[in-house]
Amino acid sequence: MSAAFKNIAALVGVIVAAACLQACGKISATDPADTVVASLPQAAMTNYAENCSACHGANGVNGAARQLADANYLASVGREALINITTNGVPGGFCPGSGPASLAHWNPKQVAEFVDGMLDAWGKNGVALSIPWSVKLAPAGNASNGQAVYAATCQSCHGAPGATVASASGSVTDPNYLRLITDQGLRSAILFGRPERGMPGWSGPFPHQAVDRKLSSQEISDVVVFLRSTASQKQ
Amino acid sequence: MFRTIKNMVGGLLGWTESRSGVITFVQPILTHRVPRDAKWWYVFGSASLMFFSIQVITGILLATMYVPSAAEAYSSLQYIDQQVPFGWMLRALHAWSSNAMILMVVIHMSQVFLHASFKFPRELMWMVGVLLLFCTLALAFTGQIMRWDQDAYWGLGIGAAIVDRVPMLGNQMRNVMLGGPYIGGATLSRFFALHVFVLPGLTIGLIGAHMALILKNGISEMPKPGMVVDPKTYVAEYEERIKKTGVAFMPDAAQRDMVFCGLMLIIVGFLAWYLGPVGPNGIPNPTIIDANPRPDYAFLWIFTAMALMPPQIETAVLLIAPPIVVLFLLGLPLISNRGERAPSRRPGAVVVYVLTATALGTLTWLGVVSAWSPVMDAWTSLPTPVKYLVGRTPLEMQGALVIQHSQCRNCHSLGGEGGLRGPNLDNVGSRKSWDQLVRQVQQGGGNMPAYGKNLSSAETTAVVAFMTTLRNAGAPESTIPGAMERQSSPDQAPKAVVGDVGQ
Amino acid sequence: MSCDCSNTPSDQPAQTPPPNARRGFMLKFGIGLMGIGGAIASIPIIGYAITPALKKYKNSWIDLGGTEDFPEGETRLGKFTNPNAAPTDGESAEQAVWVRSYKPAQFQVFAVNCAHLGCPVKWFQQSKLFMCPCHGGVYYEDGSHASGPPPRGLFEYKWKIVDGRLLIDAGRLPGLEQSV
Repeated sequence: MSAAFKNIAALVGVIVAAACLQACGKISATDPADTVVASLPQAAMTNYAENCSACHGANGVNGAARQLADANYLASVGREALINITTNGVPGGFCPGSGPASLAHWNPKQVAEFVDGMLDAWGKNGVALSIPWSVKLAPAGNASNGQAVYAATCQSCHGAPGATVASASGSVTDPNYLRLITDQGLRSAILFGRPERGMPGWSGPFPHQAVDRKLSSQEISDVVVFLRSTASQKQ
Repeated sequence: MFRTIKNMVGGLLGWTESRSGVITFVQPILTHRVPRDAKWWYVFGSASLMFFSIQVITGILLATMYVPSAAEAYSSLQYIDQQVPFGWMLRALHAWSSNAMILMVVIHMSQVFLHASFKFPRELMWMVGVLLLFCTLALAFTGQIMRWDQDAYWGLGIGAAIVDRVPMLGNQMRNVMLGGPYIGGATLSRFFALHVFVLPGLTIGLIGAHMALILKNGISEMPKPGMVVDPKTYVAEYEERIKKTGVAFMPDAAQRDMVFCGLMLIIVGFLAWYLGPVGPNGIPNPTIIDANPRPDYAFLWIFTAMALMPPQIETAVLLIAPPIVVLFLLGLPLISNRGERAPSRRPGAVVVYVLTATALGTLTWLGVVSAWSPVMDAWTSLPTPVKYLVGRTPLEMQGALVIQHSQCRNCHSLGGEGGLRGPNLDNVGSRKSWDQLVRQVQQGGGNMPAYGKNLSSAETTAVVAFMTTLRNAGAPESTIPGAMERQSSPDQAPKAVVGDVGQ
Repeated sequence: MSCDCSNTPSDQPAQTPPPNARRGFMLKFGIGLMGIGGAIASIPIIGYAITPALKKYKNSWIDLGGTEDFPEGETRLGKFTNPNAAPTDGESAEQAVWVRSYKPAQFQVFAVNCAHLGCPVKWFQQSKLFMCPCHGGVYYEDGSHASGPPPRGLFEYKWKIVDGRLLIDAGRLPGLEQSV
């Protein structure tokens, strides 16, 4: 379609060009090679569009995977861990990473530029969480405590564990779901929520709750352990 | 003063003529009589010649800067594009004028075929013309190699793979074509020799023969129904008619040629300026496997045919079809050299032409779309349409990730974006039941690879759960055996839930 | 016009037989001499032109790297310089292969050239498929044909391990008429 348009435009242009010979004098100045060079600040966004947007959404939001245009998320994870994830992907998860050994073969400098670009564009005024983001730093969880926390804060949308009736937002105790998501994935989902999908983070507000409350680092670990235990019970 | 100059010029001309006889030689050529009705239909041959002349001129100039070495060709092209004044414009002219030349040759040939101008006594003109067509196409193919980019490198690979299929001698022929056991410097050098010495020389010679035959046999008249070619009487009748009603080539026919050629030249010049040079695209380094090779327009139909032909007959067709086509084209005037010329009296020929033109046009268009090719970066660059994520369960969201992660979209589109090789998945939940989807994913079939070994059962369940949510608005949820595993009915509750949560 | 010579001598008045007789001899002699000279000259001409068809191009064992560069369970791109490379080849002398390690010290080395018409196939770790950008040939991780027009699986190179280095037998463009 655009080629056809170009051809028509070309025909029209012939007349214009013939009438205006002076314009032709400038032809040599519009070297087509000049337009190829992309300006550097856009490089990170081009890399994002080519390699990340499929899962994380066109502009860092509204993707199937985690929203990246989330200042608090970026601030909490921090530059170093972001560089690590961008390079190597998510162990046990779907993200293959963009580092030298993975899909995009970015070198470390490109990764750093990308992460800095992301922090610049999406991380303005982000506030790091007061509780640990990484499961490595999180306290060990307790399944029965987790069950109580789940019933109080999660169940109203995600349904009781093992329920056969469809819940409003879909089960998080589906064994297949739990096999596809890592503990870190669960913890991040609870901590940061899915704002674009309407799911609140750790600080709530949780729907259908009389008392506004926040989850503690311990409670999040408990819920994660509890969710895992539901899968093993079913098996 | 003016008189003096005029006398001097006249004297000079007279002297030149008396020593060379050039005017005596050229005048009968310029004023040879052509049919009165030889109007706009007859300009395309001249236009082909004009574009060939442009090719010779721009080609010689490009050869003054181009380095036909595999190590330096690419950078020399970049140098011509970026550093040499008017270099990019010259390359653009060479490229677009070559496209125009092919177009003119094809139109010219169509006209000759449809008007049956190849019949007695012009059989040989047609045959020389067919050879000129092959020369033109060979020049286009070898010219594409001169760009020495990824298209050129892998285009040679395709050519080598075709030659390789010749029984017994295939490997030897391939080595002769490539100048060795692989594509390298020797390959570029020999295609350069073909492109700048052998083929242009051959073409110039054949053009000379073509023109000599025009002078010998005369230009054919516009066909009239009922005006039958009979070899016994045709020549005398033609000469009689031409003597009576013919006009001098110069200026009666030449003026139209000039108007048309001038117009075409302006258009091509503008196209060259507007669209710029063609290529070079990626560096021809065989270790860069992200290449997406495509031939130039003139060869896209072959590219398509190779994708769509059933594999069982491919080798046979590749080896048998070209000689048949060549023999048919060359032998055409021998098969049919007398009788009616008017298209209205030759319905068979018109049908053959229309079918051929439609087939070539369709194949070329299909080649532009290349629906059979996976879109290699679709899985990382095309976001899942947001409307397919709204209100999905956590498992279905994971399924959406599996769709991206397992490169499904390289062949299947979602929301109009992605590969066209497989069916689009926008409405797959209405077309197939849960069990059918599981079977299709695990076992493949219908030209889809089996994913059974590559997806875990959880991944398969997730991706099928996601796909069953992809239904036209209002389409009923098909009776899905095994729907117990599904968590929610996405078209109903969820959107309300999102609002709920926000409160 | 230059063909006056082809007029038979009997057409001419018989006044000047000697030149004609000599001309007849000279002509034959000239043609013979040209033939001999042409034959001599055509030895190098034809030989030069068809050398690529007659010459036996040898593969040789090429070092792709240490076996540790190709970890088990992965398929990676191996690169090498063509052993038959000429000085003017530039980057086209660089070659690539897909190396799959499926067991400890067990490899499959695939040509990047699609078995259909030689386009470069790309490996996708996630779906464990090779895909071809030209006509949509697809192969499984073991190189077998999965879908699309290719008449067979990917071409495989012979390989061996010497002192912890992976060597492959390469040098020619893979094709249907030869085992790589």
